[in-house]
Amino acid sequence: MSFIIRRLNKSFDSLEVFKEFNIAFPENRVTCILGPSGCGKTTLLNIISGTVKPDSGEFSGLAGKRISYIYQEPRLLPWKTVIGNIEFVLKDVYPKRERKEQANRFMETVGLVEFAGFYPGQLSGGMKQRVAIARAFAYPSDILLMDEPFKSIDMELRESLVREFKNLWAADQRTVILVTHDREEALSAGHEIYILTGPPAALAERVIVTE
Amino acid sequence: MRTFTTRDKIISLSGAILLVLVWKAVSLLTGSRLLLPPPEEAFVSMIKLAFSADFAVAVFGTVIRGIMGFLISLALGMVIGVLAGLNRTVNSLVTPLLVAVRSAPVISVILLALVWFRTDFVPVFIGLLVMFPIITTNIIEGIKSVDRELVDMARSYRVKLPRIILEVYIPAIVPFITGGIASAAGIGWKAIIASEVLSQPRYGIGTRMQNAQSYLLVEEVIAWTIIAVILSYIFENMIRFIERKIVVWR
Repeated sequence: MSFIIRRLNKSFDSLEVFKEFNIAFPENRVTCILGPSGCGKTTLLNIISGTVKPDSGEFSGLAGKRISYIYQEPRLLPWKTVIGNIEFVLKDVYPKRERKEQANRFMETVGLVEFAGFYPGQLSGGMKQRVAIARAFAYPSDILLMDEPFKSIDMELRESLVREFKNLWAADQRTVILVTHDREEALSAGHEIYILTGPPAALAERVIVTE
Repeated sequence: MRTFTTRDKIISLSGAILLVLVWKAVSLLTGSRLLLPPPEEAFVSMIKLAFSADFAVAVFGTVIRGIMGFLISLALGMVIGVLAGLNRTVNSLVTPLLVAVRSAPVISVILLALVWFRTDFVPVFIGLLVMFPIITTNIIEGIKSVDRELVDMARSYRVKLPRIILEVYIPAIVPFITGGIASAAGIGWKAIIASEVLSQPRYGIGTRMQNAQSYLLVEEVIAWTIIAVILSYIFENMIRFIERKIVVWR
């Protein structure tokens, strides 16, 4: 079983971002999408997450699936604490006690338990992105979307975050779509790599990473 | 930082003292107690008023009208402001109403309200009409300025709309709401007292001002004015205090 998009079309004004575009993502794998900026990588993730409506397209394996999303920016609510931000996405899914346990477990994994009561404004950029990662994994999603999540993080920290991501992924092996334009990162984190060109987006190459 | 604020306070205090001195000088120059009584007379009159029998009820009456007008404005402003901020059709629909209410001369609305309502309610209605557009406009602006990226995040995680409104939009617009409340309260307070002068409810600061003026008790009119200014100052500080209590994440 995999998650397949067929004959996707999407234009912004006169710019055709997707034209009869096809792509498939294997389940329980990390698929990386590499490509120049403006080729439609982010738009593709936003179409999958449902925040951007495609003009047309067939989606199989997406109905009823839960999505979590790690963005380039942490996108934390400034008025909620670290634990409040994680619980915010869990509220419609878990009852209160389970929610707290789940949030605590993932704060522990990313090493932020002591900061549970802090507001985002009191955290460093790297810590905020850790919260965003914890939020994405704490949410019981079927598909995890990642849009250059380590781009604004400096080199040293980036390596430790990529390691943390791999550990978290190993624990539940959910389907991940990781957009990046860092080849190293794609090779280190991904199982499969799609290289896109565009616009309109086209699949230039498919690389299977063997360990 | 601390010395800086103390210095500011000393300068503000000097400004107030200077104002009283100018007042005293002008009253000496005019030489007429009737036109401009000296500050000490207004002050004595204020103390007398503060200990008079009906003082508390008069102040209470005006404050209650202010609070009522304010609460109705806030409730209406929240509902209409949030809807108009989220939806362009609603926004276009309410814009003429807001423009009309905001630009209508307060005095003509008071005259109409005198025909329509009983005297006690006229100031409430005026307060409502003056405060509602300010609060609503602020909320609309606040909603429009909400970070789209946070909303998209919440939508990706399938957070239900009522929770997105309650936990993303409303906290984001709190600074706009308190800003709107602060300016609305200042303007509303003046309009309420003005309409009390004309509608003459049984108890109210405006009613007492009008009475004082008709007996040519100018020092009493000034005394009531100072009382109104002090009350307005207290409200403003209360609003700022509440804002600091709510906006803890800054």
